[in-house]
This record gives sequence, structure tokens and C-alpha cells, in this order.
Amino acid sequence: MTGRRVTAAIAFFTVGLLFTSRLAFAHAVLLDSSPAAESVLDVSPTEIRLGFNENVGPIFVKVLDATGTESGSPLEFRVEGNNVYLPLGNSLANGTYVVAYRVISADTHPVGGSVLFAVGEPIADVGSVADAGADASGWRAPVAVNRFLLYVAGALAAGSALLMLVLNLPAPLVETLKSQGRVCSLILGTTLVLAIGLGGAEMHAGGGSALFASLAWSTGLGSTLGSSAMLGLPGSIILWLALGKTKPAAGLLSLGALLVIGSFLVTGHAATAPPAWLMALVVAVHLVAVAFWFAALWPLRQAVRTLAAADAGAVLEQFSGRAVVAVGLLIVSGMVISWVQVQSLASFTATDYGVRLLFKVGLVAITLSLAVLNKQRLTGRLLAEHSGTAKTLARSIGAEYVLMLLIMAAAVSLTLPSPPRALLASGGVTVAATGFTTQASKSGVNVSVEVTPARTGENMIMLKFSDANGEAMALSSVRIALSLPSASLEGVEREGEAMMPGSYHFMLNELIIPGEWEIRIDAFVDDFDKKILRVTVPIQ
Amino acid sequence: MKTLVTACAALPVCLLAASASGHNYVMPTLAPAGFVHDIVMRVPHGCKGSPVNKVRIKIPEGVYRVSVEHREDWDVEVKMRQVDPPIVVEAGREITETVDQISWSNPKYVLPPDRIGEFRFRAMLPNEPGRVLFFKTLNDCEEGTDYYVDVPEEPLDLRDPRFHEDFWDLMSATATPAPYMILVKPERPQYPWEWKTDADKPLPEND
Repeated sequence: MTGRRVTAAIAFFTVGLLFTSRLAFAHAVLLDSSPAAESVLDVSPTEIRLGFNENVGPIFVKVLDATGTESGSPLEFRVEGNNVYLPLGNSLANGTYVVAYRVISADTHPVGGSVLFAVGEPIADVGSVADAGADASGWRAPVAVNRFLLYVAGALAAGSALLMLVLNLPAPLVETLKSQGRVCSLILGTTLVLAIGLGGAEMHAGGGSALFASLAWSTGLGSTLGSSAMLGLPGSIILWLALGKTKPAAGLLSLGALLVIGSFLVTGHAATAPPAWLMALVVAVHLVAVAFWFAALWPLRQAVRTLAAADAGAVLEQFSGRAVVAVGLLIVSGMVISWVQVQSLASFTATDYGVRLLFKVGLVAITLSLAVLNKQRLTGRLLAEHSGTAKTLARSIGAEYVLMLLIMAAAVSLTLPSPPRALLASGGVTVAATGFTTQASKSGVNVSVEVTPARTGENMIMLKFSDANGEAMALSSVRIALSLPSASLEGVEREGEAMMPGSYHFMLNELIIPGEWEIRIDAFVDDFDKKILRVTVPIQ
Repeated sequence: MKTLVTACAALPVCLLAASASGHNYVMPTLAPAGFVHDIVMRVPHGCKGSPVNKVRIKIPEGVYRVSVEHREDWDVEVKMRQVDPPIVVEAGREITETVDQISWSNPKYVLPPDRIGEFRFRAMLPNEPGRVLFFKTLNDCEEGTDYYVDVPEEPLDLRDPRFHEDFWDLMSATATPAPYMILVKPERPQYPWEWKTDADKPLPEND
């Protein structure tokens, strides 16, 4: 063999091997189970058994309750022949459960699926499951409060450093600014770390002790919360150290502020929206402007209250000059971010996210008018040494501060629901009063998907197919497969029956866990021509 | 490219790849472009434990002159499609119609779910080395139908540097791919009388 041939042969051998492992699809099929699918038991099972058509290696087998929490304190699973057994350490309380599994066959292809059953009561009693579903979001409040503190502390810490760099303040104000920055960098560091555990616990929808489980922390660390802390934590430490010096080094202040701002850019809807680099830049500008403005308020109030009118006026004028630029950047960047997230005027009022955003914009408008009032009228009067102006101005700045806190709270509330951009990704969406509708299309096949009531429990999925001209489109057959990636649930599959040409409906009671469910729709235009359409449906 | 045929002939890997799979597949997985070739479609199992009583296959674009093996135990049916414009083969003969689908059915002689069934035909493969042919197939069972009809959105080509990645993307995105056949450039023409060779040309390597 010549060198070239040897190389080619080795290359081909490698490719061949890859094919062997990659194409080796197993089709391990669940034949039966105990409890049987959709069965209702009087008492809790002590063991779960899954019977397959062939020998399988389990990756995981778990029992989830209606909140998506693992239940029954499972012991180690064992494999006997074609059966997989999962003994339960504790008995299951009355309720609806899902056995979620993922197994791997001798051929190395993993197959996932799920088995639904109930103990002591009918499957997916909608009322009780909906109540239980509410418990799953028990982590929401702590996450939101922590995030609020994180936002406020982050803005104030970075802002204090920025102000130190650009303003030339009298010594007492420098001290105010330094202590504000130090306190806030401490809070920032603490909340950044807490965010990891709280976020992880929320992702696992765990109970109260989930925060103390390493799983929550490792999940949180693996998410963008981890990368955020990687930047923010060093940033807050640098700021804390730098601001402790009599003459803080400009380099350290910039580095610290940069890291803190950066920590906000690696996470969240706004900064990660495509085009990512541009949006990150826009969000960075927005954050710098906010930090600058917010962090100035407390020292300015101190200036008005403690300094002589002329000195305070000079400080205010120095700040106002730069604040005009900051406010301009703030408004422009805010508009860009809002537009990218909401994408249509109608969405401002039609979606939860849009309404919250409008609320935030309203707060900003009030704050701005107050700021303009302070700048245009009160500062002038202070310089003209009107009696009593200092008090009014201090009060007005105090009000601005409170409004700023409210704006921060509004910003946190925006991080809670998915923005319309995320919902729009599959082609268009309206949030109906009951249920959820969305659309998708693929090479000439359009489908509108309606899920009612889009809450945990029994749901009806309605699919309506249409062609490029919007005419109802008859198909040879339709299949759907549902999965909930966040709970590793998959393998819920159904074949549809046409009610009339192009309309299919499915009744499902497998949607017992709230979350972002993915629906894959296999639409067979004819027996050999399959189009795959995908949509994501939030189940409350 | 010559080496590819040689290497693959020497390595049963290609066949292994196919035989280990759990879905319908065709053999050979590598075939010389432009040859008239015997093709076997293998059905390795039924639909989730249900026996198969009908197997259907769609002949891809560019594959002509299909003839189906006679089966005493299965009814064979072919569905034709028009070839427009007609293609001209040897001696100026025109092909205006070709086999579009083949189906094998016989509810009496169902294929047990745990046995492999073979369905054979012969066809002229397109003279397009590097192209991957996909033979979409369906198994109709006593209960349900298995569809092996997933194909890539863009055609795959062996000469494309992204070939392996694209192939992997396809295979990892679906558990029901259509059976595939990769066309490779033949070492020499199909029929010995068309060979330009001389006796001293070395034999294809076979190590």
C-alpha cells in the first residue's frame, strides 16, 4: 500500500467504526410495566418494574410526582433479564406519578419514555395537580428577592466605582460613595453565590431542603448563574478591596465595575438574544447608564443635606452634565432591548411580559420627570440660595431613589416570565385567556397548535394543518411526541385521528408537570413524505 | 476513491454498521455508481412486537430499470411513475416509465416480529459517485405502522468535507432514518468486455 492508500484506508476504517457505533440504533421497546401504564393503584407500589423487549442498561429510572419532584426515596435499580426494577424506600402518597426512564440497549442507542400511574385517586385530578403545581414554584419568591438584591447591589457597586472615576467630588462625598460601594459589593457577592443554589433548587423544583443538596448547587453552577458568578464574584471582591483604600486605584475600579457589568451580560433574556454580541453591548450600555444614575442618588442627597448650598449645587451641576448623556443612552438602549424582546406593538398589551415592561417604562418616565424637575428648577433655586430648597431637593432625590428601587423590582419581574421573543421562536403566538396557541411551518406545511387548558392535568391538543394558501390540508397521518426536557420526561407519543380533513385532536393526561413542554409533530403528507414540526408549549 | 471501494471490500465494517441496526436497511450500504445491482432490503423486526404483513419501499429519484424478485409467499405489487423527460440508455432505448414503489404483502405469511425478513430487487443505480441514496420504507404490521422515511434536508455527498458530520446529525436527530446506500466510483466498468485493462494491471488489493 502506498502512503496515500494507507491513510485512506485508515480514514475509511475510522469512518466505518464511527458508523458502527453511531448507526447502531436500538429499538428497545417497553412491553409492560408494574404499575401498568395509566393504572390506578389502591396502595403505593413498593417497587417499579419496567419490562423491555430486550436486555437494557438503565441510565436512570425515577418516579416523579406532579410537581416534577423525585418521590419514593428510590434505592439502586437492578436489571434482571429484560426487566428493570426500581425498589422504593418510602411509600408514595396518594396522587399522580410518572415513571421517567432512559435506557440504553446493547446497541448503545438511548431510548427514553414514561409511564403514568396514580395511587389512591384517579389519574391527574386536575384540581389537586394544579395546586401541587403551584408548590413547585415555591422557589420563585426567594429567587426573585435574591435577584432584586443582586440587581440593586450590582448597580450600586458598579455605579459607585464609575462615579469615583468620572466625578471630582469633595472628600465627604467620596467617603459616602466608597462606603456605598463597599456595602453593596458585599451584598452583591453574597447574592451572586445564593443565586446559584436558589436557581438550582428552582430548576429541580425541589422541596425546602433542596437548597442544601449538592444537586441544586451543581445544577445552578452549570447554568448561566454559575458563569455570572464567575465574573461577578471576583468583580465584587476587587471593588470591595479597591474601595477600602484611601485613594482607590482607577485600574482596579474599572476592572471591578467591568466584571460586575459583565456578570449581568452572560445571563438573562435580554443580553443573550440574537445577535448576541450586539445585544450584549446594548445591554452593557443600559447597565452602565443605570449604575451611574442610581449610584449617584444617595451621595447627591447627602450633598444637598450636608454641604453648603453653593458646594452642593456645584456637585449637582457636575453630575447633571454627565447624567444627560447617561439618560440619553439609557432610553435609546432600553428601547432597542424592548423592541428585540417584544417584537410587536400588540405584544406590549397582549402578553404578560409586555404589560410588565410597560409598567417599568411608566416608572422610568416618572423618575425621569422628577430628575428633570430636580435639574431644571430645584438645582437653580438651590444655587440662588432659596431657603428650604435643600430640604425639598433632598426629598425629591429620596423619591427618585425609591422609584429606582421600584424600577429594579420591575426589572426583576421581567426576568420571571418568558418574553414573547422566546415564544415567537416557533413562528408566532398569542396567549389566549384559556389555553395556549402557537404555530409552526415547514416546507409548505403550516400547523396551528392549540393546547387547552395548558395547565397540568388533562389537556386537549388541537392541530390544524394548512397549505401555503391557507387552505385546510388533508394529511395521510399525524403523530405527536411530547417531552419535558427539564424533567427528562419523554416518550409520550400519540397517533392522531382526523376529525375533519386537516384537523387532528389528541386528549392527553400525561402533562402533569408544569414546564416548557416540547411537541414534535410528524405530519405525513403521504406515507413516504414526512414533515417534522416542533413547538414549545408552556404548561402552568 | 478507488481505494475506498477496496478498503470497504476489505473491511466488513460497512456491513456491520448496517446489520447492527434496529431499523430497516438496504444492502449493500456501499455500491458502485452506475451499476445494475442487486439490492436487498432487510426488515429486522416488527412494530413494537407486532408481526409485519406488508412492506413498502419507495425507489429514489435516479434509480431506474427496477425488477423485483419473485416471491411465492408474498404478493408483489409495483406502482409506476412517469419519467419526464425520458432518459436514454444504451442503444438509444428510452425510459419513459419507471418503478416508483414496491410493496410486498400477504397477511397469511406474516413476518414474525422477532425474525428478519429480506425483500430483493435489482436496479440500475445512478452514475453519481458520492451521492447517498435513501430508500424510504414502511412496515405495515398487524398493529400499527413503522415509518423509516427520515432523510436529510439537504442531499448528502461523500465528497463533501462535512459528510460525516451531516450524516451523524441526521442519524442522531432521528430513530427512524430511511435506509441509505452510498454510491462510490467503481474501480472499473461493470462488464468485463468494457474493461480497457490489460493483463498486467494489478488485481485490486484485498488485505
